[in-house]
Amino acid sequence: MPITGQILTGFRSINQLQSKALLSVTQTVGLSVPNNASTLVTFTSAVIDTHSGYNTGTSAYTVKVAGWYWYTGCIHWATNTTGFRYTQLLVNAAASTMMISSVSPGGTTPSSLVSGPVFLNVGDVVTTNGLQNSGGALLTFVNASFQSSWSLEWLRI
Amino acid sequence: MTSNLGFLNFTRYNFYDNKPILHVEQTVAQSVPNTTATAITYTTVVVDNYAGYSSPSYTVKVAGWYRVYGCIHYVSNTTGSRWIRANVNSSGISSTIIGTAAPTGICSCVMGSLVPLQVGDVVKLESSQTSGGALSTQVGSGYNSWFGMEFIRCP
Repeated sequence: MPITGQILTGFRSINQLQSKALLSVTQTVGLSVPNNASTLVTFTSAVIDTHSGYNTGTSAYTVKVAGWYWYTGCIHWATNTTGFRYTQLLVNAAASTMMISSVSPGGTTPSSLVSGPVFLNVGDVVTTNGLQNSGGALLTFVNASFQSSWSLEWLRI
Repeated sequence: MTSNLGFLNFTRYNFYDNKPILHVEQTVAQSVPNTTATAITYTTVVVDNYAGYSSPSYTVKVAGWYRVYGCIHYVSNTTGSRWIRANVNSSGISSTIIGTAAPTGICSCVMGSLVPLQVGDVVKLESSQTSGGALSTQVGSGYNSWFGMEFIRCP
């Protein structure tokens, strides 16, 4: 490749690194999650959304740059010792079998967190779901010390 | 123009080849009081390329978005719950907290979150537990708690 091409390629790569897609959203209002039903969790506060892909009305992120992303999702649950709780990544409404994490809620305010890489294409719609089987509807927990959140960080093509 | 572009790329590449990263581990057990948010001491430095760490805190040298992650292991005690979170400039960050019920055996709390930081910000991990009394962290036998930070991108 000519030197000019190498420099331009390098410049584009640096630009990608310096301006890579980043999303971080938090939940500021608790959500009532029905018993034993995977439910879209609402996160209405966007802390950072570099590529304006997040819709606070639908709590969904539409991917603007294809590539591998690091996903982290965490849900805090109200105190209830029955059953289990989980957090799960969905892409285009399909539940990820890898990005799911389940906890047993033995104490106060249990948290279910899942984190890992996922490949996303432009236009993919990303959401975070939660499920609990306490026997009835259960609130996600929000206060000054606990805010559920999820994030996406572009890693590479 | 071609050579100037090359020089700028080299400078920026140098930064991303050596962006701030921290990883420290706890190798000395610590007693955490009951129901008290306590700064966790990680005294073994694995990597700290910008020399920002002095236990238990990291002073930010480059502004930007960071991934702050960490884990604390507690010795076996089945009472109550445990949590861990990031603390920036003496304020706990509510969007980073992770809580778990105390299981049978060693209890681990793991957190990881994106945090915007300015130069001079002081970052640490803090934890609390509700076992009813002071509780020791678990060190050894395959368990070392850890704290890390990774620069992600400019503000």
